Amino acid sequence: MNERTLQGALTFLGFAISLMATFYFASTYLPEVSAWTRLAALVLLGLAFAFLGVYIRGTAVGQPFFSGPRLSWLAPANVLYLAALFCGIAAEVVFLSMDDVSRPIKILASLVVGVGLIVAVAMRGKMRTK
Amino acid sequence: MALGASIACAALAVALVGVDLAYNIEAKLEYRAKDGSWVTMDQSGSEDDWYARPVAAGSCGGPEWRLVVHNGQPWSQTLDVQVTYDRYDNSAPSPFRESWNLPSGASRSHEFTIPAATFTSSTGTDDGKTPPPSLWVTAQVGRDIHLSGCATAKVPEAAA
Repeated sequence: MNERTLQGALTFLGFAISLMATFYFASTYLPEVSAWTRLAALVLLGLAFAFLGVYIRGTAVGQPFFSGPRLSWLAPANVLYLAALFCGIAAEVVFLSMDDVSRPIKILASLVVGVGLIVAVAMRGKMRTK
Repeated sequence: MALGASIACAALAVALVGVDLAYNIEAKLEYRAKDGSWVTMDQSGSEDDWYARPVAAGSCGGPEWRLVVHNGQPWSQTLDVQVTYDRYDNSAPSPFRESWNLPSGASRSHEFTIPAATFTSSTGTDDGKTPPPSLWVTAQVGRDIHLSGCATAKVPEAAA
């Protein structure tokens, strides 16, 4: 096994263990707390994953785990972004299943956040191309 | 910058969950045994497990019950508290429904005795494990806490 493959495999294992620990924490404790705490924790965990992805992209371990064109997408930053995406979707599911919030508010808030995200990303991309 | 924000978000998420778990509303449903002591109804396991337990083996309470609620949160809470008798024939009236304002750290309880007539007119339950005359005592505290326990007309000796 060459040096790059070993480094990539060990980094991948580290990521797998860390993500499993995080999901174990979420599945063990989040069902026991109130819906608002669950929502806030999921949003914060999603942000934590996203920020970590941004940070790790520019570091030495930011390279794809394995060499070769087929697995070039499997990079640490992408894994963290996917974890952030999962947290965001889970947070939305928690929000939509809340009894405290009326249905029109849930729909309106979800649309504002969803469309807001799309517009914010589009505007950011436009500014970069200028 | 990004690493700091990531650590801060993760730490805040864990702290939020920790605080929520540490400072919680606690409620328990208890029945009085023959020796006068209060026995807490075991609510462990999933609802399906709980209902599947062999109630006939002696884990039912008697007619005297109490619901105890403790506000462990750092702020006061107003909670809708409700106790019902859940009978197979669904004809038992809802005996208790109140709104309790509990300051931080305060406890409050509600004692109630199931009338003998409620037992004798009950047709029992359809699970085949709860012998009539019996019924389920159910309590709801706020939105999230649901408790239940099997009650029979006979006062149990002590904890099952």
